[in-house]
Amino acid sequence: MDSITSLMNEDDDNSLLVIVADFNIYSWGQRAQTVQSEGRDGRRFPLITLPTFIENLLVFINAYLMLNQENQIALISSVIGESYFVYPPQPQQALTDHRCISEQIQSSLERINTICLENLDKRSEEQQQQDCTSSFSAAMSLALCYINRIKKEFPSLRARILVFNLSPDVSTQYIPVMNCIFSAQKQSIPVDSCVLSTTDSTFLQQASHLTNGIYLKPQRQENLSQYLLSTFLVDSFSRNTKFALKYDLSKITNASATTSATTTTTTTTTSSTNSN
Amino acid sequence: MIYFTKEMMIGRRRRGNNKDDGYNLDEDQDPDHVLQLNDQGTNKYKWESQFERTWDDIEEDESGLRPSLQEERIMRTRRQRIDAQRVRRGMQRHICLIVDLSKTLASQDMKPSRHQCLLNSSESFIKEFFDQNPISQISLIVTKNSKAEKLTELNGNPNRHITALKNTSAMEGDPSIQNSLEVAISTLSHVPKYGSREIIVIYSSLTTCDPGDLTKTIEILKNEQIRVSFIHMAAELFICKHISEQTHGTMKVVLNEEHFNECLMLHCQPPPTFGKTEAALVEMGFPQQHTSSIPMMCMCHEQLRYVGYTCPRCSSKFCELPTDCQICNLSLVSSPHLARSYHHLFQVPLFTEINWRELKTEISCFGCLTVPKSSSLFFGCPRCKQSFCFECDQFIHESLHNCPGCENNLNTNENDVNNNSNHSQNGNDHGSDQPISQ
Ligand SMILES: [Zn+2]
Ligand SMILES: [Zn+2]
Ligand SMILES: [Zn+2]
Ligand SMILES: [Zn+2]
Repeated sequence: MDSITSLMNEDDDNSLLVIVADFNIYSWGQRAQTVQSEGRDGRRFPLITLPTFIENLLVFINAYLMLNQENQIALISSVIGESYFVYPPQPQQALTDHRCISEQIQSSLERINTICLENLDKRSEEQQQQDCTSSFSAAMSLALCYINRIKKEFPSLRARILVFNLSPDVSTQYIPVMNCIFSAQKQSIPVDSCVLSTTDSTFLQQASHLTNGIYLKPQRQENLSQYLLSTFLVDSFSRNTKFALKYDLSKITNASATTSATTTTTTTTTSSTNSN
Repeated sequence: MIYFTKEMMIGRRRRGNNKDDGYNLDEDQDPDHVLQLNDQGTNKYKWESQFERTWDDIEEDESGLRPSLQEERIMRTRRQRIDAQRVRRGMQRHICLIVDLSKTLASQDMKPSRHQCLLNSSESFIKEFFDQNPISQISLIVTKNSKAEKLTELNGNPNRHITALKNTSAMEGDPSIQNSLEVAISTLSHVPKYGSREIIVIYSSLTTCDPGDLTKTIEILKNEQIRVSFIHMAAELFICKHISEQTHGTMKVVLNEEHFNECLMLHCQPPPTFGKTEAALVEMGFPQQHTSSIPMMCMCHEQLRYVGYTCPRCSSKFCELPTDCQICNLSLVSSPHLARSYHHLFQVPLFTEINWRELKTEISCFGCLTVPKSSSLFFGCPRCKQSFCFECDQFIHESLHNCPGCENNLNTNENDVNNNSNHSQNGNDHGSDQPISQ
């Protein structure tokens, strides 16, 4: 195990992934109805439900942390009118533990799992159905602030943002969202977006376009984790095949399989089934 | 005068209104600073100091040696930004940057030389300027050998200016204020009235070599509503001060290398409009990038190109945005470009310092979850009452231009203050004296 990690650290290719997930319970609730109505005439593929989304997200997060021991993650939830950090937890609650890295990862995985599910239940009770817009701009601002700080500590770190979006764009957020996009663009932080609603999000299309991120609107949402693993697992550096070729083969067996999959973005890859 | 509760309620003192000497803002106000600024020996002009006492800039604290003035200096820059009252700002700016390349640049009171400092600072200024004012244009004018020469026409390409400035020979003869102003006037007089017209002069010499009466030039400047600002690298000259006062500009004398940079960077923010600038509806074209199968002549370089932007009105082709269509005179921009300059109009309020040591409750940075350590500074947003660390504060005001806490309150704000959107009230509500309660 140690020899593998030292091999990976040679290139200092650790990265920070900030996931912005839309847990707007109103949008998820609305979708529950459309799933039923569309299920009856059966013309379209069924849309993903919240519990399956969380399961898929956890599979993806686990796979990401598995990829490199140095990988860091943050998860921001944007709900109705508010955005907050799910992981890392608020410092008041955070434990100061000095265990070895693998144990910490193991526990942080479990913590993400439980915190995520707990908070989700807790928050969804409080929410009222009147205002139904997610504060996407706040979530993006938090993500950028957090990346800014972590980058001060680890200057070589490659950071990126992955947005899961469901709620429709709010036009009053146009300026703050554009501010976020420009700030990300200036720092060359790619903004990847995965849109789970049936309509495209122009905000995210702009964001991904201007920051060289990937914009994906999966057709068959029941296979979400495979989309995620094949498209969003590799960082922007490894996506560039020119760079991938420079790595020696032992390191990129996983990465090359996934990068080739991004070009097709449709079905199963060997690497993703392994990780499952 | 700081009020605290669990939600961080912060009272705010009204900041002094002395716009012109921004560098001294800290001395006469804000007694509730947690950190006393140590200014010994640094507030002198560079040429006054005889020795470089670099060891004085190092201070020791529990985390070891650190350059002591660096942090304070960054803080000052931040505080220098004058609270924006509700002012109208011109978004489309036209600037003539006049650079004195006379023999005085050889002087080495700035390290390594005035000339090198000038090149470095202007380069970073030009880059930052276009980043913040993407639909604005600069023209570069140099003065030496008693003459003035226009290096670049008004355009929006930073690299063109930077390479032009680097490739000119410097340190020759004397500069001429009048000649360079005349060249600038002839450049700016064609500019449409709704855009701001500015001249920024970086001056190094103590003399000027003028052919005629400068007061007449000043009259023309006033009539044309051109604002002239001076940055002098050594001393305050009467004529520079006079011109800048007459034309609503500013006059700064550089203290040292960093101050030089800061003075220039202050010009990145659009100045408030003055005089009777007409608010005009401006026609703008948003051309799409187009790749044609056969090369077509571009209007800017007169060369055959495949890729280009076509003017939506007359279909002529251009290589880069933003520009003005040379055929039909339409301003061509891209919409992200336009959105990029919005943050000048909707600014994040300045944060106030929090004395977190006296707080009963534990605080952490809202943006990055850091907890304060012994020497760290924390700030509070007067609008959303969240607290932020020093790094996030800087990042929010200099790069992001959004307050995450305020964005969170977007919906509640809209309910409280009837349909004033979160951003339109930025201008006027951060000078309030009362403690903010929830
Ligand atoms: Zn051209
Ligand atoms: Zn035209
Ligand atoms: Zn912070
Ligand atoms: Zn705020």
